[in-house]
Amino acid sequence: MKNVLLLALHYLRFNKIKTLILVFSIAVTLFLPLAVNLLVRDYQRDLLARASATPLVAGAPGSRLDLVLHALYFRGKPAHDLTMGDVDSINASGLALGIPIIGKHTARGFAIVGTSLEYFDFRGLHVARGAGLTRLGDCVLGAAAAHKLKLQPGEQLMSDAENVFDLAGSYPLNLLVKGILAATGTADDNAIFVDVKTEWLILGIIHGHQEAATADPSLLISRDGSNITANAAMLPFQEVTTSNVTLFHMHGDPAGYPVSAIIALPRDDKSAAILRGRYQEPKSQVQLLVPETVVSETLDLVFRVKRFFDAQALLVGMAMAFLLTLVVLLSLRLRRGEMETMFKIGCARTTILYLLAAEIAIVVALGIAVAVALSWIVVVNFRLSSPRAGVQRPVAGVQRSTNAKKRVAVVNYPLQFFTKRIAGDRVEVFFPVPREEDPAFWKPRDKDIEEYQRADLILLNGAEYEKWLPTTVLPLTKQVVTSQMFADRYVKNGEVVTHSHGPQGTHSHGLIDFNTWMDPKQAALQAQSIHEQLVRLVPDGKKDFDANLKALQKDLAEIDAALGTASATLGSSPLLGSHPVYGYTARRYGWNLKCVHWEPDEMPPDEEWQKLEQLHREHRSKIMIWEEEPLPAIAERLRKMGIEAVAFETCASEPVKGDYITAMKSNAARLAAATAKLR
Amino acid sequence: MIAISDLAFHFPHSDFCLAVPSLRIASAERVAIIGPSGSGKTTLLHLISGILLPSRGTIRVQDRELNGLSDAALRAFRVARIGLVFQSFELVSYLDVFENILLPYRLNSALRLGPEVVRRAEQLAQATGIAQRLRYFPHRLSQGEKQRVAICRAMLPEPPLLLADEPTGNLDPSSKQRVVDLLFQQVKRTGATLLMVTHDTEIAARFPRVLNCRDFAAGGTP
Repeated sequence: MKNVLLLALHYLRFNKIKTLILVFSIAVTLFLPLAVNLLVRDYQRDLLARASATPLVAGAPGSRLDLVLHALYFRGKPAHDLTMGDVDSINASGLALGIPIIGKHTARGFAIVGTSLEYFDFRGLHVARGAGLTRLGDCVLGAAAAHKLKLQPGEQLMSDAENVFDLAGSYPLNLLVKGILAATGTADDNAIFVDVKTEWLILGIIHGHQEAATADPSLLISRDGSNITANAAMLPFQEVTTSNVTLFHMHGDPAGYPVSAIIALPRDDKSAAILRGRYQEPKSQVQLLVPETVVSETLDLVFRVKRFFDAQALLVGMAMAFLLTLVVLLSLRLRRGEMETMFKIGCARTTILYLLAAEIAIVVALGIAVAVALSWIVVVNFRLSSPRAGVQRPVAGVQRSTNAKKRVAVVNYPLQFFTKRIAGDRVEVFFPVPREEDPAFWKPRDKDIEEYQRADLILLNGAEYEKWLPTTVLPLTKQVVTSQMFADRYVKNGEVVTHSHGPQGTHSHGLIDFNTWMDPKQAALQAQSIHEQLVRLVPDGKKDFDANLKALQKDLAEIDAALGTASATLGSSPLLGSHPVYGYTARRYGWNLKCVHWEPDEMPPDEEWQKLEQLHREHRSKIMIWEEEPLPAIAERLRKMGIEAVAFETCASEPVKGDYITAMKSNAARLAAATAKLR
Repeated sequence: MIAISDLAFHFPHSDFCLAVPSLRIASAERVAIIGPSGSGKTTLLHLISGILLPSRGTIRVQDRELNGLSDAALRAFRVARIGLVFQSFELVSYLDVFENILLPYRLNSALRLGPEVVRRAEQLAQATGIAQRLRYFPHRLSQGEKQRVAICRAMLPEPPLLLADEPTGNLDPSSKQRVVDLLFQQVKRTGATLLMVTHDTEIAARFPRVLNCRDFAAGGTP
């Protein structure tokens, strides 16, 4: 048999062109059906695997398949958007975790996917090199995208321009590559992930530009009080840097910002059923799909079409088999003399048959090998993803259970104090702001943001307190705004004033007063909100938390009573404030308060004194409250004006002595002492 | 060596009939077979080699009667005892000279292709003057070279009987003589019997014994 194979190889090698044509013919005939079958099988496996690992997908009414392909594979765009409010709605329902997906842009051909940090947990994505998303403008690359784009952490990647002719439209954004994800063999490998806010930034909904208030007048169309309209010449920043990050801002309510799809991870089957029921109304503006069902239906259609293709491939294969038979028969006729010679010199006719069979077998085997190789190349290059496409971290991974002490991150001292008072040592409280800095104007470092990301719960004050929040990336579902219960009653300041003092540098007080805890009643509501979250986080501690909350509320009630008593003496008498930080206290106790923007540790210039004198003529207050004792020279000059300086701490940072309760009680005592003199 | 008696052969659907009442050829004898076209020269060689079987009569080669042998036995007989040289050389076009010489060993499991055979093939190529052409394919050889390759292929198993069917038919006069010289050398070296069909009376004249197929047709014993 070895000799027969050798002779067959000699024949095929000698007749190279004929052999190649035969091999190519067989390969071409087999390649197409083989490649299509492998691709379809691959697509089926990948689509089903990723689909079944994604419990629910929500999107605007429209093509179900478009929505699923977009949410799962970042391909195409649904015709219509949902809003971030829809994500909030799903999360607020308590039935499921909603993960936003917004993919409207590309960078060098790769899809930019805006999402929240929960997505990385859900898909089991890990940063292999560099770091994760921390700030606006950051991106992390899927392994394949990083490889093809030849990018490393620290390098930059410009998003693709949408329309070069739309000068006033959204501009490309220079993204900072923060990290490269470990390869997963899924569609995630080919994506560029950004925080959902960064995608809004590329869309132009969030933007950053030079301060309009200090801009060249030629860049302004109109200026009407605090309302300034700039023209298109005021270009938005195309990159987020440490120097311009504070100038990025958003307009309108983020709840109205677009998302193209939502991945919903229900808590259990019952929650999934209820959630689906909510969106089953024919006129619902949200369709909630089970991706596995949509993909299965699509695959059924594909397989129906494929059956026709298979039949055609079979017919082509048969035709090719007939042609090859004809070629072999004609070849045999040409080789009759050779066969006769072999027979005459003693070769068995069966050996001659073996020789022919070996030749045909080698040609067919080579044809099949080439077809398989070509199919493999096609499958590797055109598959949706690799065989690991369906391997996902279980949904339960989103809510990781661990025996370690839960970590609660807060944004100011009052929240830290309330949390510690309620939870005791049952949770670890993370509050990174140094005492000497005002947490409202503090800027977190990357490692601070990473610590916040690692927390199990992030307690926010709300009322636009966390100025750094819009430009950082935190897990959506871990954030809780403790003042949400009275968000409709935030106090608005009259105007925006920009000034500079302390380590935080230039800053401005926005239109909303964020010192919500300065009203003990509101502080009690915030404490109640914290209590609810702590019970959810550490259910075992409910009994202790209940008792601790009760004790805290009692202390807060005492402060309320003390401040009420002091304020009763004050009545409607005019009161001056050194800073616009007492809006809630004033509202609670009916103070007739007017504020300047002075700092206790800086002697105001004469111009400011003149303004104060002017104000004092109209607002004859005998008391001016300060965040802390002002400089003696300031106090003395005020005294000469007939105004007594009274320290009334805001407690945003930890008091030098005591705690929030004692500091607020001291505030009440000092105010009471000062008002007593008014009698 | 060869003993034929009362032999008759005719092809189906043909008027041709070869009859050999009696023929004996001794071992190591060199015999030329002449005769006009269609007189049955090639048919006689095929009958002696067992490729064709007689319609009547007996053929004995080296005391072995071919009539009763099976196909396999006839093939084994041919492999073991007969070397064949053809007028049109019948080289395999896709094998080089060396592989053509080794072809009987590639096709017959009864023949063992070992180092000794390879060495013998090289010696034969050397002796026949084609050693420089061993890696050539047949289409690059002259007619004389092709016939020398065919002779090497026939002689490699060292058969006791060499049947040559007009081996000089396609050669120029000088090549004819060289091929006959070569055949004589080889059968002398191995002691084989040589039966060669030829139209050429000059070539036939060099053989000690000449048979004329016309004489068979006349029913005689040449």
